Amino acid sequence: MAPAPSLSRRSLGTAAVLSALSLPVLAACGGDASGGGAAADTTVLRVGFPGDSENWDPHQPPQTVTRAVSRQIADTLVDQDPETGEIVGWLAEEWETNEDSSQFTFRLREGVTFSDGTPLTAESIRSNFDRIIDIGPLAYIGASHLRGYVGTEVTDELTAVVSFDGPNAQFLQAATTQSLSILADSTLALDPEEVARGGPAVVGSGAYTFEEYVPGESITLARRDDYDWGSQAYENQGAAAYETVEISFIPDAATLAGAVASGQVDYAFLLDVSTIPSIDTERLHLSNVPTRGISFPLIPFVYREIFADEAVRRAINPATDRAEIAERIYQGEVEPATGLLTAATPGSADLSEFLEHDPDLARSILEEGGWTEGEDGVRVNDEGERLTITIQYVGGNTLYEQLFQLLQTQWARVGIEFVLKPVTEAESSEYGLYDAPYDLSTWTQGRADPDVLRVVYSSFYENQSFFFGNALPEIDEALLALQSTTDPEERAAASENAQRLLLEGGYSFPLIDAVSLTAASRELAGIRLDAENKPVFADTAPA
Amino acid sequence: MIRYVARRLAQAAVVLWGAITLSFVIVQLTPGDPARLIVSGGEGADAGAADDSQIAQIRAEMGLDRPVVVQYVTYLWRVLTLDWGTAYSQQRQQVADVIGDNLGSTLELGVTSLVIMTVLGVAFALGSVLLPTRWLRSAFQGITVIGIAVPSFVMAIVLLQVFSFQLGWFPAFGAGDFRSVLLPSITIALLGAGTLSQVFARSIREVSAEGYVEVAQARGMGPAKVVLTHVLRNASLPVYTIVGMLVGGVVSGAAIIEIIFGRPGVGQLYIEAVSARDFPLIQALIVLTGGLYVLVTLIVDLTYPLIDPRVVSPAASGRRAG
Repeated sequence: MAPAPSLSRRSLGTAAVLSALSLPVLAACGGDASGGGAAADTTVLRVGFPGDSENWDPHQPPQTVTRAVSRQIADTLVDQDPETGEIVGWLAEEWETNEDSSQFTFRLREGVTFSDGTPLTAESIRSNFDRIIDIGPLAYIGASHLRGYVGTEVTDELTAVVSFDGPNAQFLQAATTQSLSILADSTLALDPEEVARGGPAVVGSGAYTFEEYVPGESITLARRDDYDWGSQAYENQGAAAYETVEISFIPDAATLAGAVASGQVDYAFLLDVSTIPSIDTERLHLSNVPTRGISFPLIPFVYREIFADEAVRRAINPATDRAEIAERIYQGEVEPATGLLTAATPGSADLSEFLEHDPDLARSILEEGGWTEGEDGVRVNDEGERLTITIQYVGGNTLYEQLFQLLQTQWARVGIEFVLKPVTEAESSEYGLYDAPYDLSTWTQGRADPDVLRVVYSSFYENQSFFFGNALPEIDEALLALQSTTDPEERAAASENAQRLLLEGGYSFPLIDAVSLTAASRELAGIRLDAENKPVFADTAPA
Repeated sequence: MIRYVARRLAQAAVVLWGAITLSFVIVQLTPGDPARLIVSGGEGADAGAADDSQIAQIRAEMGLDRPVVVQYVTYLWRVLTLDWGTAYSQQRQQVADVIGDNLGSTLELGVTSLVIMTVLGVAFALGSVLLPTRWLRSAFQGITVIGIAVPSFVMAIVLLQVFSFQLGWFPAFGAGDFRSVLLPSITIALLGAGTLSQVFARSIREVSAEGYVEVAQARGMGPAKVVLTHVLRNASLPVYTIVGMLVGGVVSGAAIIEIIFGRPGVGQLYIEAVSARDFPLIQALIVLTGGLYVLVTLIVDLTYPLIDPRVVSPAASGRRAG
């Protein structure tokens, strides 16, 4: 069924603007007794980030901290409601998709300006998307969202038509991500390296401007007083409550947790699971939000001999006890995976029937596949080869080591020998995804859209797709269905179908739904996270 | 005297050349292709999409496509002319600029640590020699063992927990004001101060046993006055050497301390450079820290004769003790 072109229109949330105006007054009454003690604490929001990405170009590499800063300083065409996953207006107030999802027409909001004073026009959309294509590998995530990009046509000052050479249904959600942020011409004119160095050179139309970047130490953001075009997903669409946001880089996980626990920062973004016991929830909001994207898996390399064997692939999921992993490795802070997407991802499906812990089933699958129990408990096949699976990983990550050791125990119960080979980073970078001398790998990829499945589990994209060069035609075809429609229900059905095929064939072993852990002082009215779990400082105000 | 200076300078040059050569060899010995390592990095969504033209460009810029001997000679020349090339992990800024940006903060940390270390080391040494009761003297000496035995990251965490998170006297991170440098400096200083005070205390006892000290005591001077006026100068010689050696420890200690206290600096840069496999930056940092060590040792060696003229004349110092 081809959907009729949909025309969305959203009204301005005036109530939210009013509430923002009243906030500084409340803050002045509340005062601040702990922390640094100065009255300025109601105008400065002190934030701790777990590190410096050293690249602050919103279009370039997708480190979470970079995207979190980009979210504050630059706006995107559309946004995504974190609760419903619905696409809502931001720089575009209306949009239209043609019948085969190959052409998108955006009608821009009037009166939007970049912080250098230049106005946002349809021309800005064209120059941004053209730049992302131009710098190619540097902006590879953005470029992959724009794959098949034909061009952007400017039909009038505020109307831009973005065309692709075929169906590209994921583009609408992609237009909500920071990889497709809309920046001012003055920024686009710079070398990508100059933009990456951050600071006032990075100009967007966001609620904050990028005032200063001190490498390895901090970032300062300054409020734009004339901002009144916040995303429809924001509670506050007007100017932010805090005049200044001071972001400090605190790479040590225990120091970051200690800094927020002792009131030296008001908000800590991305805490480590191990530091949770140090967070006093009477004084701090601790939020534990499931990430959106693929659930954290081990993915087998099908070109390796052991995983060319379907019985071995199919036995792994029932041999794995995800509840035990969630409890023992992640201290109960995460949920076991219920599919290949995390349960919080739009278009996810509950496929936990494939992921139940059933060692007897695993044993019978292996027996039928010709793997019989050997003398030392490890199964062997007719040729006497042992059922050995090897993983190579960068050593020193305690969480991974504990996880793999637990899997070693779980899989040993059904006669699978799991060999762990920790290596140095240098050694691990010698092999790519398609020539590994070991059998499977972990992977993480966040995105609040089921299209993330197509990127990871297809054969389409070198360095991003696991089955590149080893195509599984039936699965590629099922994943392509995600591209042909923007209708959420049809896309959810396509997502479920593709996941079923992948799980039935044993092409992925999803383990848990990862979470973003953040903590904020109870003197803040909480910090809202967007659909991809980045903080929205424009919505943050004193309690 | 001139021969002594010349010999020390020649030794320093040899050590520095060794550091430069080592920094060259490290790149040659790295498994895999350094240019490819620079371009790629991380896993999952963080992995770079390396394309071959980028790799070829970096290989040409670093001269990796030329014979090893040519690379080595070119490298030596570039080190001598301070042309370090591009820091790939730092948005292709010049290596010299990147290091320049980070050096100030590490120097602040290093100098503050050395001052605190020396003050604490001397204070504890004097305490363990001069305090009136045996019990107090042992306590002073015993406590310095903690500084030697406890690893720096444990010390850092304990100090943070008590003085920053609980008492709130010092910020836990950052490098803005002077208060922020104190806690990391104290962490580094405590580690060196233990060694320093042990060596100093032993040296004071040894010097105190010498004849001229006995003479001073016989003339009726009190123990404190004897130590302060007659013993300290000669007893400080080994301490002077130790401080020179501890400078090296301060630089290597800075790496972990800067991470724990969220301070920018050369130590943190070192770790970033290694994890990003940014070879030009790694090489420059090896030579820089090697050079600093050589420089401090040289200063110690060259000023040593001012404190103790015996060192310039081996014959005199060799025969005197009996």
